[in-house]
Amino acid sequence: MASPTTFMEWVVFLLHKYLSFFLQGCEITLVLALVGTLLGCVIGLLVGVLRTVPAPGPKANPAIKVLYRLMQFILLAYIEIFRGTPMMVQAMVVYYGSMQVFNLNMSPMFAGFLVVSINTGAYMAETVRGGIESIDAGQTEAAKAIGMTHWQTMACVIMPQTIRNILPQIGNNLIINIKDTSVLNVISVTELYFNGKSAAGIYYRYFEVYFLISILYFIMTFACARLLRWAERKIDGSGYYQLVDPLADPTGTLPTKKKAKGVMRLW
Amino acid sequence: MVTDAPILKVQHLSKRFGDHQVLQDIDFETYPRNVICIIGASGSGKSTLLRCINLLETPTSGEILFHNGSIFSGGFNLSTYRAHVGMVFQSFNLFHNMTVLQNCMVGTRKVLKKNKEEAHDVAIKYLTKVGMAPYINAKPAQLSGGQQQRVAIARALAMEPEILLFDEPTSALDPQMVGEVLEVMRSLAQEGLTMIIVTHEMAFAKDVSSRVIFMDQGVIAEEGSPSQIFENPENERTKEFLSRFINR
Repeated sequence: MASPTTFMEWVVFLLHKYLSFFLQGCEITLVLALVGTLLGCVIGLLVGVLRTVPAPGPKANPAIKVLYRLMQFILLAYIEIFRGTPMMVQAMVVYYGSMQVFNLNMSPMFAGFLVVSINTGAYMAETVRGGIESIDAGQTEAAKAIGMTHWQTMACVIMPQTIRNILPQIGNNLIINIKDTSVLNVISVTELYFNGKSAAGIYYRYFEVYFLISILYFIMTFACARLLRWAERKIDGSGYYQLVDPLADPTGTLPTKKKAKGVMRLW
Repeated sequence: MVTDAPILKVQHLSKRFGDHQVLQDIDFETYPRNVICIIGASGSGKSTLLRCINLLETPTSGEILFHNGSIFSGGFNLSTYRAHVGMVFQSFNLFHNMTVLQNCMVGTRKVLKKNKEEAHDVAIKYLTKVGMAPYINAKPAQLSGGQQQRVAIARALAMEPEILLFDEPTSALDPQMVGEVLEVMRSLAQEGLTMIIVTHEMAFAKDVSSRVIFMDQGVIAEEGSPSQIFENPENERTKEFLSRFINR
């Protein structure tokens, strides 16, 4: 094959030569973003819920009050520090710091998971807090009024609604993470951007390579956005409900999913 | 009625928010099968009184006795108490993430620890009573206000409470829906359920209550039988309040 000359020829040439290499990068990027977002959500839910634990009353045990203050301080410090510094810098500090200070030789991948999770967790914690606080106080009161404890109220009433409400923000975080894992190239994580940089350096074709890379990033983010939208609709359930005849069916058994679909049926 | 012991005794109950004295020295008793209607102008402390009774608000001072036991004493189980004292809210407050059936089962399952079949049967029983059994698969957002409030009543009844508190249950409803909710409450009163009802529905209060309490500026201004309060009110404030209702 003659040496490529035009833009399109270079694109075809590079695609042919490096597609599987780029796809390997995509895989690393997706794994990092998905696992990081998932762990970040778990951290965020935990921190967010703890941040909304009501303060102990004035008659509470002083030790509990001190413990509560300390917990709130630590949680806030975590959020502010990890929101307030760039993920790229965090990656360097964690990766090289662990080596130098703790003599821990973690793999770049492991450091990557750690940094993305902790970073996402800090953002998610605030999202979760906002989500919890946006739920109408009447929901909590109704749960209390039938005797549910704080944790039962959280688990059965508040969190299911919160998670539904913050799903768009979880989607945002996933998409941001797909793109922002590119900063992990500084600790040699072989994600898509890193592989692109390697490929571009060989023929000095930066524009063509990053043109391809940008298309691959967009395919990943767009697919995730669609999937999340689908998940939201799934959670919302059917717009219709089926009436049940309590006389014909005294047990009130739930109709099968298939029957409930489609138009609203009477009886 | 007189031979029964009171279920609930409220003694010298006071509540202040900062400098604002909302309730002052409230005293009253509730006997089994009593229907007590609390009437009065907005801001007179009616809702706060109700919310103090099931401790959604903590009273500043005073005593509440449930079967002669103080609900403020150390060993008192708040969760069990609230399961015995149901509450129906002005804004329904159905759990949005659950269907009608789940709304009526969550309390019996989680608080009363009943098994699934039992909780299901109890839920269906009370949903049938309020005429909402056909709607068990609906989400609250898919129902009208009146339907939501009837489900909320079924949810409270499913706990089989000794007393049911109603905090202006019809104030957020349009006139047509007010009727369907009052109908349900009327039948509950006839069946002998003990109820404390904060309401602006004077005709209803006159009709169903065994006793009426008129509240004014945080105190009980007048208390008596419905005929006493509505036909021969003694207190000037009561007269003024009721005349406004009649002339409206």
